[in-house]
Amino acid sequence: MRKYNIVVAFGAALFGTLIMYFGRDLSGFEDGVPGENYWPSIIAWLFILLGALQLLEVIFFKGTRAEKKVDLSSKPVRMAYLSALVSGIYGGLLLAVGFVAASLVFVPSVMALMGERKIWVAATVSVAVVGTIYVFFALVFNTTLPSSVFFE
Amino acid sequence: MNDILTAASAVFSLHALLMIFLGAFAGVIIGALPGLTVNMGIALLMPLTFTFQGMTGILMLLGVYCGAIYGGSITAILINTPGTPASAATILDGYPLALKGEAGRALGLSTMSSLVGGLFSAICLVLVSPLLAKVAVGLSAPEYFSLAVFGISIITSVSSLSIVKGLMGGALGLFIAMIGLDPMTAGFRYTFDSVYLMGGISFVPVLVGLFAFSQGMVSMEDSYRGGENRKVQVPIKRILPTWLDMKRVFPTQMRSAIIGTIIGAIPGTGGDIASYVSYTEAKRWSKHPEEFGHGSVEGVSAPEAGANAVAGGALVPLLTLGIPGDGATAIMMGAFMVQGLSLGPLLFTEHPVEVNTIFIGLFVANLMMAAIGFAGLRSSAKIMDVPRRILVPIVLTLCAVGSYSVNHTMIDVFVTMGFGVLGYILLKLDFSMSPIVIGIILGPMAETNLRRTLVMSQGDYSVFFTRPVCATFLVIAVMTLFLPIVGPKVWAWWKKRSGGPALVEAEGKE
Repeated sequence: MRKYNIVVAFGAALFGTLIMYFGRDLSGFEDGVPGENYWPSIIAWLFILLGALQLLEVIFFKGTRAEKKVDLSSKPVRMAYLSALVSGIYGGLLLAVGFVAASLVFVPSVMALMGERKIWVAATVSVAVVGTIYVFFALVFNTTLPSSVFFE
Repeated sequence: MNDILTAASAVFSLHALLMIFLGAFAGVIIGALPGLTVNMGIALLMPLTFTFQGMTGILMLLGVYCGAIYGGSITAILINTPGTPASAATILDGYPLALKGEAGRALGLSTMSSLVGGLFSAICLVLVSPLLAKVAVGLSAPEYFSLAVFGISIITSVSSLSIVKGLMGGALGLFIAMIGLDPMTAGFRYTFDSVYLMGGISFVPVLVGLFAFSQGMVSMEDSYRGGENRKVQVPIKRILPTWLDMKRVFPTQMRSAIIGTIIGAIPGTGGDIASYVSYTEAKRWSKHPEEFGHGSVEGVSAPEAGANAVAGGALVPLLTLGIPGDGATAIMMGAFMVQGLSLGPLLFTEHPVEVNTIFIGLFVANLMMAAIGFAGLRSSAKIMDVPRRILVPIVLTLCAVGSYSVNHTMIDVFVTMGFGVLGYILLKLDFSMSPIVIGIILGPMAETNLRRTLVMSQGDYSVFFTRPVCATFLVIAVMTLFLPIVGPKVWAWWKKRSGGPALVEAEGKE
C-alpha cells in the first residue's frame, strides 16, 4: 500500500496543479468580489494540501495500513476489468441495436464470464432479466429505454 | 390540517402505496443479499423514480431505505453474514439463536424491533424537525455556508479506512460539482468546449457508477475468489414473537430506538454505530448479560431497533438543514434535488404538503417493511440462494438502463461506466465513495453561499466569525473534522488512565 499511497499523494498534488493550470484564464478575486476561479483555486490548493498530508502520513506513520496488499492485476481483478470492458461494448451495442437485443447478448456474456456453462440457464435468465426490466421500466414506469440509432 | 389531509391522500393513493411496497420489497431483497448495499439499492432505483409524478418517487426511495436497513438482518441471522454494515451487531446473538434452531424467533424479533425502531424515529422526526426548521428559517448566506462546511466535515466520519483519502474524495466531489456553469456569473468552467460538460456532469450517472457499477465489479472479482454465499439450511418454525418475548425486549427496543434516533440525527454517524451502541447498552442494562453472545433475545432486538431508528433520525438534519447524515441520505438528497425540492428550513414553509407526505410516508414505509418481513420470513432463506453470476449481470444492466433513463443520452451510460471503474480502483486504494457524493451534493451550496457572503461583506472574511450561528457551526465542523483523528487517541489515553493497561490490552484483543 505504501507505494500506492505515494502515487496517490503525488497524483492529488498533480491534479490540484492541473485544476490551477486549466483555470488560469478564469477571473479571480477582484475588488472584493470572488470570480469564477475563486472556488476552483480553493479546491486546487485543497488537493495539493491533501497530497502533502498523504505524503507526510507515508513518511511519518509508516504503519498506517502499509501492510495491506493492493491487488490491481491478479486474475480476479482482471476479470473485473474485463466485465467493465464487456459493459463498454454493451454500451456500444445499446447504441447500435437498442436495449432488448444488446441485453440479450450482454447478460449471457457476463454470466459466461462468471462461469455459467449451462446454455439453457443463461438463456432463461437473460430472457427473464430483459423481460422484467422491459416490463417495469418501459411499460409500468413509462421510462425510455435505449433504442437503436438506426431505428430513430 | 389541510396540508396533512392533502399529504395523507397522496400517500394513501393506490399508486403511492404500491410504490412504497415495491420500494420496501426491493429494499429488503437488496439488504438481504450480501454484496448489495443500501446505498447501491437507492442509487440503482433512484433513476426509476424520476418519471413519477409528485412525491411518489421519494416515497418509493423511503421504502427502499427502510427495507434495506432491515433486510441486512436476515443474512446476519441465517448465514452469519451481515447484508449491510448496520446488521453486523445482529450476528452476535442472531446467528447463535438460529443455530439453536430458533431462527424464526430471531427473525421475528428482529422484524418487530426494526418496526418499533422505525416507527419511534418517525414520531421523533415529526415532532422535532418542524421546531428545528423554525429555528433555522432565519439563516442567511454565511450560515448556509457554515452549514455546508459542517456537512462536508462529516466526510472524516464516513471515511472508515483513511481520513486523508476521505477528504480527497470529498475534494473530488467538489471538483465534479464545479464543472459546467458558474453559479454566479454563468461563465463556463472546465468544460473544454464539450457540449455535455457545459451542463455539468450529471449527478445520477456518477452516483450509479460509484455505488452500483463498482460494486458489480467487486462482486465479479469476489466470485472468482470463490466468495459465493454459504447456503445454510435452518428450520423457521415460528414467525410472530411471543408475548413473553415482546414483554422482555420492549424496554430494550425503546432504549435502542432512542439511541438510534439520536445517533441518526448526528451527521456522519450511521446504522452501524447505532446498532453497536444499542447492543452494548442492551448488554449493560440487561438482567441476563451472560446470555449475550449465546443467542440473547435482547441481543437480537437492540441492534435492529437501533439501526432502523437511524432512518428517521437521519432525515431530521436532511429535511431541516439540508445536511445529509450519511451516504444513503446524500443520495436521497440528490433525488429531492432532481424533483425540484430544495431541502432546508424553507422546505417546511414553502412545501408543507411535501414535508407531511414524507412524514406519513416514513410511517407507511416502516409498516410495509414489517409486513413484507413477516410475510416473507419463511421464504427469506431462499433469497440468499441467488448466485452472483445472476446478480452481477442484473446490476450491470440496471446501471446502464438507470443512467440512460435520466437524460436519455448514451454519454451518461459511458460516464457511469467510467466512474464505476474509477470507483472500483479507488475502493482498492482505501477510498470511500460516500465522501465523493457528499462533496458533489454540498459543493454548490458551499460555493454559492461563500461567494454571496463575500460579495455582501465586500471580501471581509471576519463575517464568518462575528455571526454567532455561523461561528458555532464552523467550530462544530472543525470538531467533526478532527474528532475522528484525535478521538481514538484520547479514548485510548482515557482508558489507560482509568482502567489501566489490562483494559486497553483486552480491548485490543477484541
